[in-house]
Amino acid sequence: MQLISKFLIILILGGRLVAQAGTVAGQVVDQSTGLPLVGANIMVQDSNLGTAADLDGLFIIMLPEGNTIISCSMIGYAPVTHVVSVTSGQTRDLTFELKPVTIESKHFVTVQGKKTSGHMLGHLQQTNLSTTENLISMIEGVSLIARGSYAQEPSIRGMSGGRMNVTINGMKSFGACTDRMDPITSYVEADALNSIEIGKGALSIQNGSTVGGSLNLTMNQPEYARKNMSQWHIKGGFDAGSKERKFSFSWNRKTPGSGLSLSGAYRKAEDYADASGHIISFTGFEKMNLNLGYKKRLNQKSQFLLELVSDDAYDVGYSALPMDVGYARLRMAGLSLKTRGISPHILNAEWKVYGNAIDHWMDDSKREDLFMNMHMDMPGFTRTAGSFVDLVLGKSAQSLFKLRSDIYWTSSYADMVMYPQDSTPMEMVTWPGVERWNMGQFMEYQSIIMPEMNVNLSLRYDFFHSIATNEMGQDELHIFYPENDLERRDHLLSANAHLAYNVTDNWNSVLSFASGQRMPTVSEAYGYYLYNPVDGYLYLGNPDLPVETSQQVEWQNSLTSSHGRMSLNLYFYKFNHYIFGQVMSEDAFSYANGWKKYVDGGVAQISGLEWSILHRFSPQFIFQGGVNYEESYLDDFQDFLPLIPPLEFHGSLTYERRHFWVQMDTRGAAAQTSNSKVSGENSTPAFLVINLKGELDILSGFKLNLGVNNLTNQLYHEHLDWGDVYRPGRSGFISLTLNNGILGQ
Amino acid sequence: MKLRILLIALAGSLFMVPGCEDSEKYIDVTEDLILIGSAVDNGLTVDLYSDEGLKVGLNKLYFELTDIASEDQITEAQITQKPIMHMETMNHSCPVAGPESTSNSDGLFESEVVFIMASGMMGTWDDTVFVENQDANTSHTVVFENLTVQETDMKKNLVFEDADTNEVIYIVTLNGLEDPKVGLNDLVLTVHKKQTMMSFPEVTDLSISINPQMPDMGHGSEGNVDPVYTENGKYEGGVAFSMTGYWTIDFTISQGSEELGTVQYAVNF
Repeated sequence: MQLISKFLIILILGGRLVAQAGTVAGQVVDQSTGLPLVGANIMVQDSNLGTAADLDGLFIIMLPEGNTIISCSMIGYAPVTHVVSVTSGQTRDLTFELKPVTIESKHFVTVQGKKTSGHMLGHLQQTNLSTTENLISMIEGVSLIARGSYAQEPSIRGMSGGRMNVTINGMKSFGACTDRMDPITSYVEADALNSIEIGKGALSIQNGSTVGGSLNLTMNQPEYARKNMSQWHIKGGFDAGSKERKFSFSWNRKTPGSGLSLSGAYRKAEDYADASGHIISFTGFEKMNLNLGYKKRLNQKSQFLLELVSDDAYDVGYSALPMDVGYARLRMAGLSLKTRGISPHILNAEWKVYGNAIDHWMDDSKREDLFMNMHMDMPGFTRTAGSFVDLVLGKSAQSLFKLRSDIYWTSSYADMVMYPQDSTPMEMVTWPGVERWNMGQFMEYQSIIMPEMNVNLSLRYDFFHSIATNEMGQDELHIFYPENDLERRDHLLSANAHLAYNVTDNWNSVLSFASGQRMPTVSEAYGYYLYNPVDGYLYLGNPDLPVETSQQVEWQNSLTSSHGRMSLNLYFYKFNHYIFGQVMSEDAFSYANGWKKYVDGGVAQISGLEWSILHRFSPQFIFQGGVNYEESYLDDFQDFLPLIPPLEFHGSLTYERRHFWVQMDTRGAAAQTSNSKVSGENSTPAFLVINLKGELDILSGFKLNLGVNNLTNQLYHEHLDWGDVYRPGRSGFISLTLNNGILGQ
Repeated sequence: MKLRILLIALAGSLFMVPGCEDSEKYIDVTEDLILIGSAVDNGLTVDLYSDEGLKVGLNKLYFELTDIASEDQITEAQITQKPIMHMETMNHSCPVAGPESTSNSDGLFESEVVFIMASGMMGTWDDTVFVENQDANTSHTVVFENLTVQETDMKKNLVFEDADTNEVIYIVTLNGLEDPKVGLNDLVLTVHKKQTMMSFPEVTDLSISINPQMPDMGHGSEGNVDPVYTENGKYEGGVAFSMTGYWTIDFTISQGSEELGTVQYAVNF
């Protein structure tokens, strides 16, 4: 029976093939960016004929003679239909320009394309000296918390730390510094980055439950090539202000069946000077980063990928703190298996296992003025291992299912030893060997419900098991929580819904709702007398803290024209059980203002807007700019939230030709006076800085970058800078890039 | 190499010796105790045990009475003891409580003795024990001589004047912090009045507040428990050490509304 039906199908198809006469060859591209759309579906109406666009967005399809209706669709875009008529033997060109019906659950910065792209990111140029943090901060609504000139911590709409979910290629890893001096972003070099994905609030929950946002750093991957080839580049750069020297290299070996990539970077900087010429002590650092990737094709549909990352920072100065970082070290390994087309319904599948270790050592041996007149050691360690499985399921071109099952284990330990002169060393455990298990299940459904309307629904469930295992640490916490077994189990549920509608041809509107939850961090639940130099208080963890929850509403609008785009986002977050440090005692310590305990701070609110614009005056002349503003409030404390950025704006003007570009960009902020009194924040004055940079291709494969940062030599610091330490004054930089193109390949 | 063999042999013998004494009748709890002395009087063996070696401060002493003829443990008897320090020019006793006339479930009579001075050049301690066995209608007297009492710095004198301007001495000892740890440590303070050289009655009506400090850091700690009276001159409370290092602990002692004074101890770990 089965045999017969197969024959039937072949016969029917064969019959049709005979009738086909002409060919349509074409491409599917994104109307706004012009980039090819890989995997778009091209269907001939009232027939079984169809194909999918290849990696370059190209397709070829055979049609019968006469008029035929062809439609093209892809998730995230409004479908387009064309009537084509072909005559026998004719080949026609056809381009489908699909208009995005964008679901803005994630924002991308594509690093390797040199220019940032994606939604409204427009046109900020990077140079060889750009850092990962610089790139992240180009995204509207993302600010950096600076504790020195190194390892700034990203903050999405004023939410950072445990409110955010940071991953590297989807892999979890956790900073080992109790004072958050080593955000995960500091362990990735900009050269090794492929792209940055940012989800705001709980709008993107694939990589974990969150209330504040998610940040996934995608590393460069090895590539295949049709025939064996090697590619390399070396870069060198120098910044006159901090005397930063940077060298980096990459080497790629590509074959049809495998790819190998090796890249590395070395940076060393001295103390910089602010605009008044005053040297800011303890702002220098030294860093070395190495990445290795190996990809191998197993068969037509499957491949495996090995990733190794190693990052070492030494003698990192922290001017805002009484001590520096002796070393900060990451070792990370990941192995993944990817396959597509396992069955007609499973389009893609990926399985990944990973592990990483971070060691962090605070050091005050370089300081003359010692905190409390004694040396201290503060080591911290985290170990993380996990695995996830991703599945993309789809039956029609109209809807798509994404599933992720993930699990990880992480362990955090930190302690502190102080050495008073002529007395007994004093030791305390500050992270009591906290072991945490997380199992999560994520699912997302995307569908085109009308040609002009897309819907996107996500749901995530997480189970967490956390326990403090270090005996001394348990004894310490039992002073405050005698009855608590320091073990907790939590169930978290997050969900979001997006509805995107193309109101007119050039007006796209997205309404999003999200409900998020997050676990208290290790410090918040189990930390022991962690000193915060911003408010001068010691912080005690609270194992009884409830899970923090958020509700989020967001309305995003974007207008496109042939000359550019403009977008406006309005958002509102309401938090319950907002985790907050409450003052417990103000006179207990001679060297601190007192101590605080993390408590359920009740209801908090954040509301704000982000406006951005990209305008192309001519093909060579581009303006990009943006403004963001938000307000916050913590009801029970009648206070503002801490570390909320003030009104910020930026703009850039770029002139680009084939062999060079020049860009002038400006960044500024209004004064921030809505400060958190409980957190002891100061007001920060307004500032405006201007930078100038350019790039010139001297020869094929030989590039020169030049620029001046803080052109007008402004003396300023930003609101999120710890210790109100001034930023660098005017400084010039130069860098050179040499690649295999110089050999005339 | 020889030393190592010796050590192994020694360690082995430590485990073997109590094993030889094992009786099949009951679990011998005295294995965990230290035998201070053994004395025989008129058909009765009196064994004196303590939890650890005797030291200045609060000591728990246990008496085991065995009828030599029947080899039976005696569980009902009136026992009184009188520890005496013999010095060159004088003798004195120390605070004593118990034992009760009934033994505990292990057949031991429990008592508490607060040694207020170490043995050594200054003098020697002995403990005279009177046993009245009502069942057998016999009485016995034994003396445990030359007891070794280790010095500690856990005994302090609180000296003050009473309403009649007479000098009063309260003897205060701190116990329970021999092996301090970070976190909350249980502690026992004993307070006895030095009435005469031979009489040290317990003081029961004090209110005591605790204040640990870390001079190297300039801070105290949270979560301390003020000692409160329980029995036999004991005040039980807790001290919270937030980290290792050098700590001082002040106990401010009041009687009624009057603050008698403060005694300070040092703990270093």
